[in-house]
Amino acid sequence: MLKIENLKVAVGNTEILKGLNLTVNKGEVHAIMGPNGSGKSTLSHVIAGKEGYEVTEGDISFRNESIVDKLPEEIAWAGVFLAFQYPMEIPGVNNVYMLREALNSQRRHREQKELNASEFLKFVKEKVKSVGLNEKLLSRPVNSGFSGGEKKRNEIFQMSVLEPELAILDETDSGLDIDALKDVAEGINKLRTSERAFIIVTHYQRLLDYIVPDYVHVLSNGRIAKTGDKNLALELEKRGYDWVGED
Amino acid sequence: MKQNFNRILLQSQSLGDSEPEWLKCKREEAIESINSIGFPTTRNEEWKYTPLDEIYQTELEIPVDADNVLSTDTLESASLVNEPNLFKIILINGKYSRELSDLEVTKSAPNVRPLEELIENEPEAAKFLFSSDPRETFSWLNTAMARDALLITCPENRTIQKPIHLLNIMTGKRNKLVSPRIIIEANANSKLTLIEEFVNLLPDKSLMNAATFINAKPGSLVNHHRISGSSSGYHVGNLHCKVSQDANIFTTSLAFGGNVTRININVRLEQPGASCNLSGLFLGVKDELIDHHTTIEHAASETNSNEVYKGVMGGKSKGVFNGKVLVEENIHHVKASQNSNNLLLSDVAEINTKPELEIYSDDVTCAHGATVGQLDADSTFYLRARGIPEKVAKRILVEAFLEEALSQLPVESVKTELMKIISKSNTL
Ligand SMILES: Nc1ncnc2c1ncn2[C@@H]1O[C@H](COP(=O)(O)OP(=O)(O)OP(=O)(O)O)[C@@H](O)[C@H]1O
Ligand SMILES: [Mg+2]
Repeated sequence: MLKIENLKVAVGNTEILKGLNLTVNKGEVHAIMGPNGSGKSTLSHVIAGKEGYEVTEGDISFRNESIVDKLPEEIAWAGVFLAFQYPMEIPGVNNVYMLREALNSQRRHREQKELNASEFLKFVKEKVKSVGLNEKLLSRPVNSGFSGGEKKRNEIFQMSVLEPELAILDETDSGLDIDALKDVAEGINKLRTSERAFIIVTHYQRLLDYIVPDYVHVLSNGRIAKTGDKNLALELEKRGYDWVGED
Repeated sequence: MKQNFNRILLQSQSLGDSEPEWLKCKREEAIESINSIGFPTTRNEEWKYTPLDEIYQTELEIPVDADNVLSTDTLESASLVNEPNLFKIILINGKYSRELSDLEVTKSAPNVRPLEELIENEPEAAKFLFSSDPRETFSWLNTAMARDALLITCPENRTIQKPIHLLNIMTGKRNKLVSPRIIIEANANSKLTLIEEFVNLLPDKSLMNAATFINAKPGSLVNHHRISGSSSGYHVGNLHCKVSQDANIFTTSLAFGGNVTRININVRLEQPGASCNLSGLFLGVKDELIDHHTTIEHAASETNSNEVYKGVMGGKSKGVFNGKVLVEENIHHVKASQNSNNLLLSDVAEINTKPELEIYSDDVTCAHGATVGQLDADSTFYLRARGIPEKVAKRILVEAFLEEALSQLPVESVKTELMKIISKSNTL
């Protein structure tokens, strides 16, 4: 589904990703771990089509089509969702309004019927319960004044509404209390199907207790330095990152 | 250079033959004042961003009765305000049209009287229409040239529920100078809402020089919104407000379109407890110049002012906001805050924003801030990553930026129109 080959990405004169390879098939869950500053968010942003990064070599293809030159909205329509490490606060833009616009843009693009305000609200009310987001937050401006945990839940809520094929969750578990962590994990597990894939960027093993990954990768210095199964996460938790790449 | 423009002052004298002596005097005085000071040019500090040369060089005409006709179709499509539940007052080329206005004679309606009627029935009240004389060229020009003037009064203790829509239309043939003049008297403890709209149906080089006077008597509440949004033409707006004890005035200016728009707003807080809220929104998408100069005078203790202006400039447009706050000597407990926030949508658009604080008292809490920025790239990306196309994402962000200034406006249709203008232009 997602195929990244020898991806090199620079910002200005600094090379951040230095020849990264990653293949994600449908139905799979990949965890990406790695030290601060190793390039995890950069990878997430580049997949999602953010401007400001230069792909100097290599390619990213999604469902056999290169997405390196695609616009962020086109990548979203193709079925990629990015849950941001730092969700933007957008004062003045109502959460539900934004999300309806997002869903309808996607539906328009796929030649499906758009949902009107009341249809959408009904649809959303069910989703909001399933991720444990306080319903009041729906009518507030996007993430504006939300607590850290509320922002993360909001990302998962948006994901559940947009029903992507590939979801990239950039540290969605950071800053969550235990209950929120469970809710978020549950939100993700509910969406797991044999057709959908997840890339979960995390620093902690604990999320992976709830969402068992098929693969665990260590991203270090702009490359995938090591790949293993869920046990690799346990080992990293014990030993840190220093030993990675030694053997 | 200003020969053509000066010639119009002569026309004024020939038109005023049947007017009462006092009015002729008033007009002559005004013309003398203009002649002694002259019309402002970009060499005057206060007018340095406002290019008026082109209009000064144009041969303008004063509208005659034959110009003051308008088909109902044109009338209906002229306004941006489409709400049904309004008192409608229509002025064509500055002249009140009783036939087109819709006031229903009920107790809850405002009291509306044009100049001619007052001259005939209440000569003293007629004089009142020309009694205020701000010492400023375009206000004098209005005094000299206004063919009509309208007195709108809200009686003591009365609340006028429905907003009053004052639609000013400039129409006819050839280039015109039109001078609407409106005097609003909000008597003690009264409440009213006004939407003053200015529409130009003439070609580029016409000038609408409007003067509006609002007198908010003790305890009154006046909500005033002014909309100037024609596709072309020159617009000078002069708004003078006096606010008495415990009275409150909200005034919003919405300006977009046109060639050159210059709006001068002056609010004087005359007695303790008087307060004002000024908000403004200006929007450029082509090569418009939109200039707001506001002055708030705190002339008494316990007075409050609050001002928020927002500009969105795209294309090659230029926006100007100059906000003067004057606090007089020996007064206490004064609060003044001013914010000017601006968004540039293109590399060549310009914003000039300047606070001008003249404070001669120690007992003042004063805050001001100004920002000029672009749409936030991270916010745009966030929305696009959710599948919202770039243009729509930007429109949503501009809408959000404007929301604060628009939230006061009682007419939804105007907001929708504004966003259409932004969407249709190529600025996003
Ligand atoms: N726009 C940018 N300009 C300059 N350097 C950047 C930019 N974006 C990222 N970097 C640098 O690239 C490196 C990787 O950053 P990135 O955010 O991808 O790390 P990360 O793995 O997500 O880290 P963390 O675990 O702290 O979230 C860092 O050294 C960062 O400073
Ligand atoms: Mg990161």
